[in-house]
Amino acid sequence: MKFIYKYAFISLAFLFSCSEDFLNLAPISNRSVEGFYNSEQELNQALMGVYDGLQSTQTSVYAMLMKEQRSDNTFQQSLLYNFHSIIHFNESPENTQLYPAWSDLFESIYRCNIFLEKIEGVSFEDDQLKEQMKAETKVIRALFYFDLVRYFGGVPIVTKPLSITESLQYERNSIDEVYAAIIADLEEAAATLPQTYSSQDVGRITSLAAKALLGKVYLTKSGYPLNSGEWEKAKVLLEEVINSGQFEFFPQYSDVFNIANDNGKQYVFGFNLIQTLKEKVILFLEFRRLIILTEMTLF
Amino acid sequence: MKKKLLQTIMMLSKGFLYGLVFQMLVVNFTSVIQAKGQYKSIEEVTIRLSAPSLSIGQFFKEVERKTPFKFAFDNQRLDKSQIIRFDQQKGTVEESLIVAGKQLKLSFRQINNTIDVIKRTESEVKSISIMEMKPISGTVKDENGEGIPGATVLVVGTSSGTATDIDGNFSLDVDEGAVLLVSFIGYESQRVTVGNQSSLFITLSEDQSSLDEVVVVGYGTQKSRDLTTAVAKLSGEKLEDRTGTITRVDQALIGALAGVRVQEVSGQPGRPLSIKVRGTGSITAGSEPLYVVDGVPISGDLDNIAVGNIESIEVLKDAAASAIYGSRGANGVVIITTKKGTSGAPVVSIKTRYGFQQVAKTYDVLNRDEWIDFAVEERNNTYLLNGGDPNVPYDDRPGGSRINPEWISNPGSFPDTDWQALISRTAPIHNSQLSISGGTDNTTYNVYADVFQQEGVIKHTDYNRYSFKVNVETKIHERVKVGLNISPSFSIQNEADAEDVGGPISRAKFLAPIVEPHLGTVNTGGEPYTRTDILVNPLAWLEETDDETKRFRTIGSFYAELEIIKNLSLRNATSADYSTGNNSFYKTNNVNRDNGSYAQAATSLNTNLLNETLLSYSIGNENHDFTAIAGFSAQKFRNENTFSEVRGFPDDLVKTLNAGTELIAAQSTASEHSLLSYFSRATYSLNDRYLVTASIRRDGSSRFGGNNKWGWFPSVSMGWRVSEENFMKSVNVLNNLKLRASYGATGNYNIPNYGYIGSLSQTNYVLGDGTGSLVGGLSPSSFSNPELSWEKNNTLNLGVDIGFLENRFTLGVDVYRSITRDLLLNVPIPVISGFSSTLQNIGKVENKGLEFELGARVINTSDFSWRIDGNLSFNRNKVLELGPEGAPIPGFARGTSVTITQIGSPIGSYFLIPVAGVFMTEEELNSSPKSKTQNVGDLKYVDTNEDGIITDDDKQIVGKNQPDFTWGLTQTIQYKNFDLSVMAYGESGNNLLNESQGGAGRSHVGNVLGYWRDRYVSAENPGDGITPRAAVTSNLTTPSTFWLFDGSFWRIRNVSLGYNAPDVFLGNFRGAISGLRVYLSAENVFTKDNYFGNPQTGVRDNSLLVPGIDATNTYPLAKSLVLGLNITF
Repeated sequence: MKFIYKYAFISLAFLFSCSEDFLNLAPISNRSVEGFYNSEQELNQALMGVYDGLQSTQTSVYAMLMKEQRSDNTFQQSLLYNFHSIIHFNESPENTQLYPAWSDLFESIYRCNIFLEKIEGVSFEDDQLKEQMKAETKVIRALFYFDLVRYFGGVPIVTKPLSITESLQYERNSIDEVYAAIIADLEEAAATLPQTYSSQDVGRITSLAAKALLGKVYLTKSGYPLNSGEWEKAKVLLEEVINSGQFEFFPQYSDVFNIANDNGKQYVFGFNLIQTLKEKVILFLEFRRLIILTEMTLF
Repeated sequence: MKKKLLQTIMMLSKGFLYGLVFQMLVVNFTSVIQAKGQYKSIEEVTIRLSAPSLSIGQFFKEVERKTPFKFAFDNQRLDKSQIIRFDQQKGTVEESLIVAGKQLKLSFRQINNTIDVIKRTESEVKSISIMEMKPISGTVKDENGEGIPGATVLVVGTSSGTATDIDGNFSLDVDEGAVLLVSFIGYESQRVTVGNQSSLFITLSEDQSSLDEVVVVGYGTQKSRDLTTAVAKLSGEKLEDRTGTITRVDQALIGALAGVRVQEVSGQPGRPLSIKVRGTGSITAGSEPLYVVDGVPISGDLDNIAVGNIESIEVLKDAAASAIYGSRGANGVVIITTKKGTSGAPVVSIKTRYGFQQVAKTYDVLNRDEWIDFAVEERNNTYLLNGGDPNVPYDDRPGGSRINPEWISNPGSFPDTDWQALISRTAPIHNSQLSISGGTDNTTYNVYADVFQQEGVIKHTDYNRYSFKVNVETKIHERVKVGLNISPSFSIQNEADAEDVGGPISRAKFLAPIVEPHLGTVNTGGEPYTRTDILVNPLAWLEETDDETKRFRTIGSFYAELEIIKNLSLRNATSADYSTGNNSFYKTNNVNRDNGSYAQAATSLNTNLLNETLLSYSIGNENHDFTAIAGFSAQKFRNENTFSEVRGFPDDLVKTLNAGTELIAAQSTASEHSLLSYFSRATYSLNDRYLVTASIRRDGSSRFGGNNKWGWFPSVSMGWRVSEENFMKSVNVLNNLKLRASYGATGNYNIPNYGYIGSLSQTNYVLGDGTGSLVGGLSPSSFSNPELSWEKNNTLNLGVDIGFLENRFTLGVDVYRSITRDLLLNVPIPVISGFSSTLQNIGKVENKGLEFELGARVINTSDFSWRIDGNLSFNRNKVLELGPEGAPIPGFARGTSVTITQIGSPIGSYFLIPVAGVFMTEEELNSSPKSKTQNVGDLKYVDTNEDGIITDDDKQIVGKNQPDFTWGLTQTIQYKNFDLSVMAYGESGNNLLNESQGGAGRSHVGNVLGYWRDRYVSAENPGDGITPRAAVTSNLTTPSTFWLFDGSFWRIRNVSLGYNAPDVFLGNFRGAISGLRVYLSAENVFTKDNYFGNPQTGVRDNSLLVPGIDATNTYPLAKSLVLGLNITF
């Protein structure tokens, strides 16, 4: 009988050896939101997330289709229904390229908003740096809204993180209001940002980049559909950029497409893509390859 | 196994005696006496009785004591207290019997030393008969050639008979021409007529429809007669002949069981299939059932599990059956039980199969002349459509419109390559199995080894598997049993990246026949008119792509079972499912479209540890039967992956990652989840008529949000065996009638690990001069949702089981309604919140259906039998609720939406613009609504919303991937030692969508499918009215019903013809070899369908929102012919 008790005991030991801790598992390969945004270092990581938004929003297929490809600078004879219709301005709301354009931009704007909210609660050794980081974020946010207003016209202006319920209550603002928000952000940032960075920080937004963007915003706003006629404002800003002596044209136009000239003299603002994204973009630049790529994946 | 187990019990314990007595009682006998030797007649033997009057009981006893004779009589029909008065106390036995017979109206018949006592009817005068009997001996064996001990052998019409000994042998004295009835529990009884032979060899086949069949129900077994839930069973024996051609366990279930749909999405050797039990009950959390192998709920799929060692596969279909698996039961549970040892001398069995396979169906494509004809027409049309000048010579036209004048002047100078034939082959397939099982009273074992080698029908693909299993169980104490079950297996799969969307299988269909097969891929030079630069040579692709996956998996458990008191036992099992996968991939520059040689390495490690404690209790008497279990289990899963890619190989000689110069990516990830469960089940049966089962499980999972960590999963089911009621006893035709009703709650816990935790993902950025350096960034990637929980399923099942004429005909009918609510959906939310969707439990889907399982032993004699087993299932799927506003969810293919999941329709319904043929005339064209630019000969779309223009708003639900019904039918015919089995199955009413149709008919890309022969050419030659003209327009890219096809089919899946060598045949080897079987088995013999490819395919089989999408790239199914040999020692 002793024997039996021993077995019974071992079995029962198994029964009670587990507890609720067994069910509380934390992610291994991901950090969770809880406990983040607490230090200067973490805010720096968050700011890199803000910058990362540029990679998807500026290099995706939609960014080409809805900006340059629609212009008369380029021509694309795509056999894909979705590409074809965007380029010819007869896309339907179901077009699968439109949604990512909208969602990537707003997801990136959310990163800006949560950063701007959370940075207020963290104390920095150098307040100047804190202000600079906020200004960088605002320029990026302005760029995203500038894309949105050009793609979709008036869009909701969101400047803080929203709950799901709050997000359901927002409506579209007018094109005018969106431009006003863009201009406000850019003006504020241009005043705060430094004109240059040390070599390891190249790729962050400078005051000249902010001014150049603001100039472009005024130029665009002065045309269709607002026709605001703010050409003079654009001229002042852009002349300041030109006369800064920081930039000059490459000897020939095609040099822009040479990877060796990345962040070269002609770049007012440019960013290096991380490796895998870069590959995709290089493929896109070669037009023949664009067709190959799409047929490969969709045939 | 259960039958062998039964034999063992009978043989080795008192149970044997009880069993024998039970059988005797069933046929109303009290004694069966072995009769042997030389016999005297009752006329010759004298007896002196002790008293002038004796009761008949005393008289029989005295005769039996004083003479060699024994009496055989029906105890119930003979009153042994009746008194016989004898005139004389001394005389022959015959004289005394005559007296007894007269007084008590009995007649006696001497059969050797046995005296049969028969109640005489009034008309019978003769009271004594003496018959000349001849001795006969025989052996009763089961289908595996193993002797059946304790089988009853009765002479029909008499009370004489015997039982077989431990080896299944018997001897008996019978009349010539007598008929023997041989029976044993769990086997079909057989009648054998005794001719002039002196020895008989009788093989009993298992009674498949037996009510005593044991069914595994999860944490225990139940007899089929006591089942109150919907459980389907596939016995391993039915798969025996097919183990040479069935690569994976999932294939075994094809067409076999009602309510279980297996889609053979790909024929790639070793590739998992898609299994759905009773329709699709989830939209995003997966529809695959839970797999339980030897009691271990495994992670992932059925990789590496050998088919040859399977004892049975049970599918728990309704929620009441699967509720014991709680939060994992909603998609049904597939329980796989492997063979175990039985005590006795070692039984060694060797099975080997060898055969060949070929592509079952190739795509119909154009040959050289047809293609040239098509290409010239298409290029001309396209050129003119784009405003080209018809006077420009063919050779001077631009790009894709250029026509080689030689195509027309000298077509014979171009090759006529059959690319599909070029990449396929007749491939060998081989399977060998060795099984040794046996044991002593205290220890049993089963050792198993299995080698499976399959070359693919597409060159450079194969699958080899080596599986082993050891099962040992021993009693270390009279109350303690311990056991170990361990099955390691290793497989190597070469896929050659064959199913890549632009890979060799699709290229072999679409590469133009005029391309030289030996042409390389990069800079082909030879033929400027077809795009071989992007359309990689399929043969080169296969030859120059390495894509090898090695998997090692061990499923094992160690258990101990303690009998605490009688009927109460405690069992603890510690189990593990450990698997690793290791993929190495290499592509040469030549087949990588000149993007440089490329290599990747990926590894995965999955561990699944389980500890389980189970307390079982059972008690019963003749009226009541009660069993109960209660258990606790803790299970933890961990998954680790690594992945790296490298480029820049100087040559293709060294293909491992170290030889590359440029690292593209290297990463490793890990994730875990855990499950704690308490469960209990009780079954009670009253008078074998009223059955009730209730179960409950409480599951806690790490995947569920903090506010919903734990869930209850109860179930109840009831059965009424109407046929056991007294008022039904007189209905002799109907020997089984059971009504069943069940209701239960289950869950689908396949939500992402950590899904409720708002997580941060890496969002890195590059800063710094020149190429800069990577700076780590982090951004939120999801909202936190502490409410996140499992999908909840409730199923009501009603069923009836009927058996006629001693179960010669059986019918099972089940009707069910299953509702899954709190579906895990990525609910779209306004992206201004930062996220496009959030994972929520919302939405509801319904599956309801009707299932029939029938069995008929149409003819059932010892020499000839014919058996039919069939199943038929109907399932209707309907979405009842979706997201907060019920917005439909589109599904995408070819970059455009083609399916819709909306309230009131099946999940993933095809949503396309209907096509009403082809524009035949200018008038028709001018008077119809158009899409984009359209001409005569183009597809005519239906303006369903009648707004005068064809847009996406004209899309309608035009079909679904779920069939209206599925069926399976197996016929087994046995004549003497030959047997033939034919298995067919089919599906009806389902569609599939071929997304390649959006780019069809373009000769500059390559070849086109055969239906283009019937294209619109001109008003005089309008074709079939469905196929448009040959011209590259943006028309076909419009998602329309031109992309949609009928997926109905039926198929003769397997035909097997076998021969079981009789013992006579074995001659001198009879002692050594106890069974020998030779057979031929053919798979995929014949298919009838309405599609040019595999109607069951679906490249996105994991996404239920876009089911049945064919990109014309899936591996073709194979047909095969296999010769098999089984030897049992």
